[in-house]
Amino acid sequence: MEVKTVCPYCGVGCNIIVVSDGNKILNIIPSKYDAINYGTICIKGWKGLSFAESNKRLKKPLLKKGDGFIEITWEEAIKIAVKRLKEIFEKYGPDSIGFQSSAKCTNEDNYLMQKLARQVFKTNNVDHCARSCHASTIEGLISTIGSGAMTTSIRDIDNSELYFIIGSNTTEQHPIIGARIINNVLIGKKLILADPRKIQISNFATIHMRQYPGTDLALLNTMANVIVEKGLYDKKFIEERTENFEEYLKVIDFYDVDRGSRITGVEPELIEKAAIMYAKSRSIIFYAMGITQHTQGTENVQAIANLAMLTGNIGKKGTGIAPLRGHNNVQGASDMGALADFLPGYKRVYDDEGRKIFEKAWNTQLPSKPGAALNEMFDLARKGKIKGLYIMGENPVISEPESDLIIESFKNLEFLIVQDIFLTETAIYADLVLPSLSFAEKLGTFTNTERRIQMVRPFLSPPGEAKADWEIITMIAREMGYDWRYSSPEDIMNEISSLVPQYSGLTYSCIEYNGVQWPVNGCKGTEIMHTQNFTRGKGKFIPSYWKRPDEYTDKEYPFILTTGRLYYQFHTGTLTRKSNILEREAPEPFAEINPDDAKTMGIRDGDCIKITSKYGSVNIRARLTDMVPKGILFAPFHYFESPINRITNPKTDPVAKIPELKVTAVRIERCYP
Amino acid sequence: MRSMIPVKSRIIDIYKETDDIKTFIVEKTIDEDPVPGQFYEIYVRDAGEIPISIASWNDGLIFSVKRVGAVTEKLHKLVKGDYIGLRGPYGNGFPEHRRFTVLIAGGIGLPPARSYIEYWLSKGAKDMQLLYGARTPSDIVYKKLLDYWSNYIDVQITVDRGDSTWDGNVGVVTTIFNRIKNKDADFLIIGPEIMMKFSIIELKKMGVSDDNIYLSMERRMKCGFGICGHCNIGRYYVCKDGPVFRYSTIKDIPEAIH
Amino acid sequence: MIYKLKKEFLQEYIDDLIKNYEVWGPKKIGNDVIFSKLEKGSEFTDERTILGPKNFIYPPREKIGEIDDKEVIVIGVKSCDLLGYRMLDDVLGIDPSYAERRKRVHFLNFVCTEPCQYGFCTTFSGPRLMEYEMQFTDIGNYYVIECNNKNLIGKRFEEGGENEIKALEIIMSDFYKKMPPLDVKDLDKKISWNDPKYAEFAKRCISCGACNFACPTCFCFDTYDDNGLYREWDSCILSGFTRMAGNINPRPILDLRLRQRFMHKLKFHYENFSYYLCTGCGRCIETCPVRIDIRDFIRGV
Repeated sequence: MEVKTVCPYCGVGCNIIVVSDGNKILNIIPSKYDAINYGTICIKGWKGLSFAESNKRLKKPLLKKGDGFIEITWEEAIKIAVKRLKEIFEKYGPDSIGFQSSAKCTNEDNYLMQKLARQVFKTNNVDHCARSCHASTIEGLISTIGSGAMTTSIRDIDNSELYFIIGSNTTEQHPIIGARIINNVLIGKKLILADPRKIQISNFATIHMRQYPGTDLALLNTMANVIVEKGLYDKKFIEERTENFEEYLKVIDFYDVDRGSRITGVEPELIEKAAIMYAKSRSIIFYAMGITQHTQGTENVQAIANLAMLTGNIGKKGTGIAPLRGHNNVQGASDMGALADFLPGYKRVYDDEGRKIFEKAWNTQLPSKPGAALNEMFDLARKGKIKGLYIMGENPVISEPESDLIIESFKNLEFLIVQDIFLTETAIYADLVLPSLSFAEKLGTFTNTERRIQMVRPFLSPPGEAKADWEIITMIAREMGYDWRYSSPEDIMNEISSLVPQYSGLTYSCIEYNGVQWPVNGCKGTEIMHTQNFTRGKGKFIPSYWKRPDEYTDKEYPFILTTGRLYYQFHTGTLTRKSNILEREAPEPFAEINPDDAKTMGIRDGDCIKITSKYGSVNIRARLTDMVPKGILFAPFHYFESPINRITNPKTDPVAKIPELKVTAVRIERCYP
Repeated sequence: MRSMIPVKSRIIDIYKETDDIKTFIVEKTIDEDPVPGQFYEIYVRDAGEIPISIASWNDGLIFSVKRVGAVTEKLHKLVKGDYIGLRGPYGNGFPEHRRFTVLIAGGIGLPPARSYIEYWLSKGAKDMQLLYGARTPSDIVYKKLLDYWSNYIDVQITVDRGDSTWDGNVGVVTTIFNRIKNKDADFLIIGPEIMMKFSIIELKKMGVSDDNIYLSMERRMKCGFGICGHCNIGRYYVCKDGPVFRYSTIKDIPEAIH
Repeated sequence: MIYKLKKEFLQEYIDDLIKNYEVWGPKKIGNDVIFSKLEKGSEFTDERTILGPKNFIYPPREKIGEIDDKEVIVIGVKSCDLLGYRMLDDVLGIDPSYAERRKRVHFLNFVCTEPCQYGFCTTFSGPRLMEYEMQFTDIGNYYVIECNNKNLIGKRFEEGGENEIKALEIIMSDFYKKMPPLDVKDLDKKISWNDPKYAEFAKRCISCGACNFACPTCFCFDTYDDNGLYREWDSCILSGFTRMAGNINPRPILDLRLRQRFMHKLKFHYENFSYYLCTGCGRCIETCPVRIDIRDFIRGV
């Protein structure tokens, strides 16, 4: 059989056709669909799908016994899950349980997870990993333009004249989008890159600004200052489509080029040139974790929106703001309201009008207080306020900061359920492990970074007795006494499309082979948003002053550690480390260190170094490269052998609650393993 | 045996040579006899396959393996009676012994040298000399054999770093080139490429012609018989056209000795 | 032997084949065309697929030793792919598990009558092959079938002759005019170890490996253990391809690996087999996210 499905890795959402015989993959063929990947995929698409066939897949529900697990039946598993969750609920109240949904699971899975939390367990304690990556995007963009998603489309990249990439290693994290940008640059388009590291795409940058980590807000404000100084802003657009411009002018007036250069470490001429180029061209701004994972993450995103509105570079062909979402369905999980303070469709839980719609549809009172965010759940567990956790498709022990404390927090729980496809580093601490289906075995939808809702179709038969996530959640809800009647994912989508305004009227037959971009009207999608009005009406300038990041260097901690990802591995490596080729290409953890710094400290390439922060220390191999500037270290977070998140900064952005993973002050010394 | 399917073979015995080198004697499940300088692909369950040179053979096949990576790590954990998979023998092997031959071996390059020395000694040839360089005295393999061979051929040993027990030469193997008995000889170099590079420089200084220098090349090898592409250098496949190459054949290939 | 078949009878012919064999051919799925198992002749289309049917004789990933023993007919493969598979035979044929599977696959190739976007097959063998099992060419109302396998002759095949050959030659002559061959004379001698294009391509190559996976002639594979010995398609542009224990790598940077890819195809293989390891199918260009173009490279040498 052959099915057209969507790659389960990154937010680009490449269309892939998989030929299989039901038990194993026979061939992998990129789709020629030119809206996204035009017949191409990256190495994770070619070589990374074999995890689905691994014999390490969880096949049966597991119950913790002593130090290990015993296999039990689904009947027993659901009964135990419900019995223990009910006990906790009745003894400690609704907010004593936390639910962690998954950006890897389908929209249908995510919708049911948040419905379980809210309708059945009466809590808003439901969240997912967007908290660690684009929570600041959601807050930042909703406050400025009304909608927290990419304003334009991937195909629209071809219509631009200039690309401004800040805080995104595009060719490694969103390779097919990076490739499309490169192709355009080769035919004469311009690229402005702002990144401390000399990443591959810098080969094509007309201007490469290497700003000091955590100074992005100052950089963006300075660019705005130059644009206003030179009179290059779009007066008409600002007048007709925006508000609060006066406040904005007040703040950026402070950021003259010399000050901006002092703060960011970028030469003033470079900032000036970049700003002028951006203002004079039809431009799209691409950004990712370099902007969002900061204590000023929300303000960084607002600064980007401000810049786009300032120059009228939004709402037209070839312009816009492109937050590059990490996971295959983190956009969808956010749309489905698997967030502590948002209902499906981005109505706040404390918005009475919005909440009424769901109370009516689900026939129950819903909690109006925002729940605990992902990282807060572990805090609350440590404090004894959360007693039960239901984690689906998440591996926080590797992906979240202060992972040692997370493991400690598990000890305080009375019941931990982990629902996943492999026995991950988090699952080993569970009381109950539920085996679920991967993208290869289930039907559903993913929403990619350009808001395109696409069909995911099964091509392998389920391993053992594993069940689809939506099915497991339904069984739990029914056992709790709620008459959920979903016989297929399509039933769930029908409910979603009746309640989520952006998905209004959507059906599987609309989506078919090309997908539809929300906001959807019947079967018609929207390629470019904010063309006539912003989602909130007028765009609002929300300016902020730059503050030093929470951590900064001093005598004790003279280096800045910034974390990130690699091309060959994906996140905690649960999927990619099962592939022979991907694991071979990036088999072990390393920390990039500038050769001059290494020389001063007597460190050679391959030496073991111990990186220590206020929060802990980690041993890792040094890799000397001039990709990082002096004073900066870079390490990927994929590896349990050197779990770099043990030592990263857990302090968060006060609004979005996203941790400042990009800036941690550290010191290094030799270690002898 | 040009097939990808390993043959299940029992480990008959294991000896510890040094901290990280063990010698394995494996049941000879494959009919074909190897020639000196050839190698086998050894398959270790739950780890993978690696190419290992044959050190010697009689009723069983003798391999000496250094623990350097995931597969060798697993191999070192096996015990007598465990099974491994075997494919081979592969490679062209050393050229037939025709005149005085100087073997220059470094570190784990001694086992293939052993295959040559033992074979030709058994055929009555004694016009050989061995120059062997190890990192430290405790890294020297085949101590007893080295002693035994010195009864028949000239054996010179040096270490990069000495210790209190060592009273022999200290220095890299090129520092004992002045002890080479006959410059009009065939030179077989087996060891890390950096050692090859400097050995060649010294031999050329001594006037040795490119045709008389043979190198046992190493590359990542998977199939062992020239179809998987990993060991390709220029038009040659190290597993099939090598691993033993005349220096004159490969000296013009830029990536041959890197 | 030359036959001709009225075009409207092709579906029926495929239906007849399906009665006795497992038949795979190009099928439309959404806007894409891929090789798929045909349940009936009407599913067949002679459109070009983005990937050729290489996985039939050489699966992307297989457990070593496991061979399925069914006979398969692959109809609709393009000549550029088929020529590539014959080159694979020369290398992989020595491996019994490949040879076993190869024996059981019958390729019925279709000759292109119009150049495709990235193809440059006229530089090598061109759209019409000299060696084939059954070669179909669309000459308007008929398919001309050049046949070397009596067992697969269909009941509606009619004897063909001079007229059919003439028609083929006219189409081919037109084709060659539209796709003039690149000059590859002495390419193996002219290609340089220091060509500046290697560094130029390395600047933008994102190491996806598509050029190797889509190529009908690429044969490199890696082996690994997964409770048994497996092999899977490998790509020489990946750094782990040549990396050895102790992190020693003869090709540590992408420039050198791209160099290996081009020199292996256009020099080393030629020195061993007297033909270039390329059939001009253009799939490497089509599946490359940054459109690295081997034609540019050849022209530049």
